[in-house]
Amino acid sequence: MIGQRALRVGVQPRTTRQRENLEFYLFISPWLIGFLLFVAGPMLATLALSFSSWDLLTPPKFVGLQNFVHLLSGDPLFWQALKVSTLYSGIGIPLHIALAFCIALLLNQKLKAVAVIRTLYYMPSVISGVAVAVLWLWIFNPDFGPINLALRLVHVQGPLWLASEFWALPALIIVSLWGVGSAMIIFLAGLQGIPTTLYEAAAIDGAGAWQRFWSVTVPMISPVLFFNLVLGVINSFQAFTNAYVMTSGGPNDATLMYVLYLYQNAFQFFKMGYASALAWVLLLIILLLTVLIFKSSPMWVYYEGELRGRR
Amino acid sequence: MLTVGRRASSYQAARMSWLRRASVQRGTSLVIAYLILAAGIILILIPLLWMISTSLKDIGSVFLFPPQIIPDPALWKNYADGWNAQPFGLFLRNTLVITFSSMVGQTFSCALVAFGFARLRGTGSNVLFMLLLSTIMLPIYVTLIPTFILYKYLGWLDTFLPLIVPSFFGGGPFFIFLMRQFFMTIPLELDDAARVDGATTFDIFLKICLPLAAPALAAVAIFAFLGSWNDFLQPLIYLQRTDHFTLAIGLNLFRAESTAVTPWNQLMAVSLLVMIPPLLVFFFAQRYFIQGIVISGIKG
Amino acid sequence: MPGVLISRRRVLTGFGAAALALGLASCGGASATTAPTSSSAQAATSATAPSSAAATTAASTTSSAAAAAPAPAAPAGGSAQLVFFTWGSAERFKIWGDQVVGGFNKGHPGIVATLLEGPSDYEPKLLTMAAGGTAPDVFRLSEYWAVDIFAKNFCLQLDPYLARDKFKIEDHTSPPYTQCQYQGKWYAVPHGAAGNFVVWYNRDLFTKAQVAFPTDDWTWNDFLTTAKALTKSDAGKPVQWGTSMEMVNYGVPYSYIWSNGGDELTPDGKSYLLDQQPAMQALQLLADLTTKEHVAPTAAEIPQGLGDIFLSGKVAMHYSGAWYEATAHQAKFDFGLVLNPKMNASSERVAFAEQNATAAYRQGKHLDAAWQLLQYLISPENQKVESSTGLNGPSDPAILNSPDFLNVNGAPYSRKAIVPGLLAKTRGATLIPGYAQIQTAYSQKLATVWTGATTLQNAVPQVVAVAKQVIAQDQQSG
Repeated sequence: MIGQRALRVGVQPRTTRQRENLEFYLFISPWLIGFLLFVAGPMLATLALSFSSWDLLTPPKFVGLQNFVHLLSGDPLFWQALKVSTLYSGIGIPLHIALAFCIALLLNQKLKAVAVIRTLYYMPSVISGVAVAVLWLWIFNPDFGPINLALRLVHVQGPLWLASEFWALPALIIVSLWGVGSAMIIFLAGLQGIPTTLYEAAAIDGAGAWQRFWSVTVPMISPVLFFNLVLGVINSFQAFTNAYVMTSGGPNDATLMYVLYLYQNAFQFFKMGYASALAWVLLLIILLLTVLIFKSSPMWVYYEGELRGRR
Repeated sequence: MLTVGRRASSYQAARMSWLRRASVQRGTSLVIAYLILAAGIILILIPLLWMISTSLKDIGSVFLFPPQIIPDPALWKNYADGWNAQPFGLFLRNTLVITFSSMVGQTFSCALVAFGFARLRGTGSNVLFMLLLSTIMLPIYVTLIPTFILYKYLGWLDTFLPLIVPSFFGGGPFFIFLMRQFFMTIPLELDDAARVDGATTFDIFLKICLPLAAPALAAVAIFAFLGSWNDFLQPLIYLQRTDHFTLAIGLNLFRAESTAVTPWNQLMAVSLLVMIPPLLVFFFAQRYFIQGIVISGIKG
Repeated sequence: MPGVLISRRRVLTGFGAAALALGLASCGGASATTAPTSSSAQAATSATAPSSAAATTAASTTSSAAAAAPAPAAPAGGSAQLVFFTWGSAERFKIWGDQVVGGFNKGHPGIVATLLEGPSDYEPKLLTMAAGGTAPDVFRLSEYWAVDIFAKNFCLQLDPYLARDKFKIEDHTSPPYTQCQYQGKWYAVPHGAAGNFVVWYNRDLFTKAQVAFPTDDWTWNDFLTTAKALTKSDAGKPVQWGTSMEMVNYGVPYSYIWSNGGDELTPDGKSYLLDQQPAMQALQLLADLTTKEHVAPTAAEIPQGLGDIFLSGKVAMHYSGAWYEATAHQAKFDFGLVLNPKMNASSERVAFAEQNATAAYRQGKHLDAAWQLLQYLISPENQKVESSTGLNGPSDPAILNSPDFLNVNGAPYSRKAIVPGLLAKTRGATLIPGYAQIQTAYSQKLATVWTGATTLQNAVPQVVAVAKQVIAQDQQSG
């Protein structure tokens, strides 16, 4: 209807290409308008702020590239924060995706009470805020938390977890794995979309379970896998809350995640300009990684309905 | 993909034998699946059980170590006390209004936009898509204040508008990206067939792609609901008066100045109560996660 | 790390709750008796209080004479609207709203003040409102953050008003005023968390172990001996510690460093002496409590953010602020309090105190009304309300030095050690803009020293480097 109405209104595109163009823009117009109204302005403002020094209480002062120079050459905490976030993401994302995928596979079957089980697995993602942080402080408590208690049962001396420079970041990764429910749901939705006829056909062609997995499931799920990977990168590099509440970036900056450092600069050190510079550097890093993933996608992502070289 | 060139009878026979073999395999794999899932459930439930246990304790024994697993006596009144400690009924109402509105807005608008990106050619669509994604690559803590100032000039501070209106404009890159991926898994032959039958682009969107992407839409609805339900930062910054607060803010207000005087038992109790609606939404949305969509009416 | 969960704001509930009797008893008589007793109390406090108190009184008289902007006259007609912003919890907000703000409104007909409830993430919200131009008229500030805001000229400078109304903040409150002043000028009134940090001790554990109670003139050796006598293990595992010394909490090392003749940031704000011998020695003694002497639980053994180790009865002594009395009252055992021990024979004992502050927005629409609210908050009337409801303890020297307050009926302890300047010099930490960075570096770098993973010699220089940068920046911007 949209396309037809546009035609009637008097916009007379001369070619199919132009009509397609118009339709495209019509469909994405809600986002485009919203972007121009609510997002573009603030984003550009932060870009401008990254070239200034602003304490939030007095007007910003233009300082040119000073923030970026300091970031690259005079700030060891920047590199520490980058290192922490890179480690966290590099280890956390593959684990997270693999775990979510496996659980989704298991829950894709017609098990009894599957709806209940899925809800249970999703539950951790639903608890928010303060309660979660306290829970995990208890779980990781070296003296009486369940993890170290369990380790003691098998005669292993548990580490200090959140009080240990080495173990604090792994502890935060474990906390993030507790929330695989979200990624799991997305995988589930993707698995639901794979027609069973495909499996049947493959089986008839003589494919075993393992082969069916690799030649049917994986390709068909690849768009969702791609999604989880890209989102994983975008979100993981911006992880903040758990480090903020549970470790404050410690001990000795071992869990100083990038956005936590940014937050400190913005709201505790009165350096909003510097924080904006940090933000844009992060955006560039994430964007670069995302573009790389996109560029690699033709090699491993399969879309049934992709507009590739058609029409 | 489709059984082109097979003759009906041999296909049927092969199918039956496969199904027979598969049912035995399915038996053992089911048991294994149950075992693994059970182990996972235990791991997931431990923190939750501690939440429940804490919620039933007397404030003095919340942090005794070694901790009591089953509190004795079990103070169910903590739930009522916690709920009444603040105007949670009002917070609930506010949160429901905000969450439902933004869930509806997000689900509908993201599908439209995602269809555009997935199915339609437009100049600069790749660049625009990257722009879309880049908007979630900038940490919210730097865009917070410029956005706050924007809403101040619009006169929307201390209202629900900043929390609802943007949802109707695409509802967020996360959802658009998700729906785009799902739309791209739908075969283009369906579109072609529909066009031959005289469908417009919008018809294709509404009558073909949307129904086929139902599981994804269900997922979006679940996430949109939860995201808005648990959102703490944005309501915190945009809302001023206490009677506009949401549940997430209310929970945070349990945190008094020092940990020793925070009523953890009540906080856990109300946190558990607040968890129920999103879980219900999830539970009921699951019926859309239907197994094996059969694509009918396609000729090989 | 617990730094954030154990929030930086101080609660004076028990302090106030225990002063309930006092408040009710001296209802009518307080204002009449304040005049003579306050001057003697002030003489006592200023004699023993450090140079800061004397300096500030001197400075404020000179600066008020040279005040740049004269205080505006009170507004004529109409009602001024004020927004009062504070952190708190659900219960406390009720008291703030009904009794404090309500009490103010009743007594000030031309002004309508409303309470704005602040979240535990207080500073981001305050800063966002400030940056967005919707700053509250009157707001509370905590810890080392206040001076940054003063330096940026965000708060109303109070000296003109003090001169105009002939009002002296020191008459109604106790030092230190480190969070209320910047460069000798007043920018805030002290409000909340008054009183020294003291050692809280579990009398039952002392009695059981037949160890003598600590006295206010005790030394570090006495302290260490007592702690050792009260540390018990069972099959190699410690079940009770003599003391807890939560080095990760803000405020802990100061009194020990100062009492040893050392310093961290000097009062003139120009040098940072944490790496000098007296300070290093004090820090080492504190660190040894966990790593060498094993009389205190390590950070890992303290259930960070998960409850209170003193309440659980596992430590016999606990160093914390005056506001801790509220928590101590929840204990099932008798407790007492005493000053921090004297470090060595030649140096003077110094106690650490920090007071929160409440300030007004310089560009608010009703400055005079805001000033009246500030005055009201530290008035004897409001101090009584706040202490009787457990919101904040009193800061008024007259109240603090009165027998009613000092000797609590039936309690086996006196509150003398809490009163600033009474038994020993009281000092607040020197604050300069950017102090937050020094404090962050301190807590991060030294966290691993307290667990024994590294030494002070490795960690402290890194903190000093950050401090030097912050000082340099401050000196530059003047």
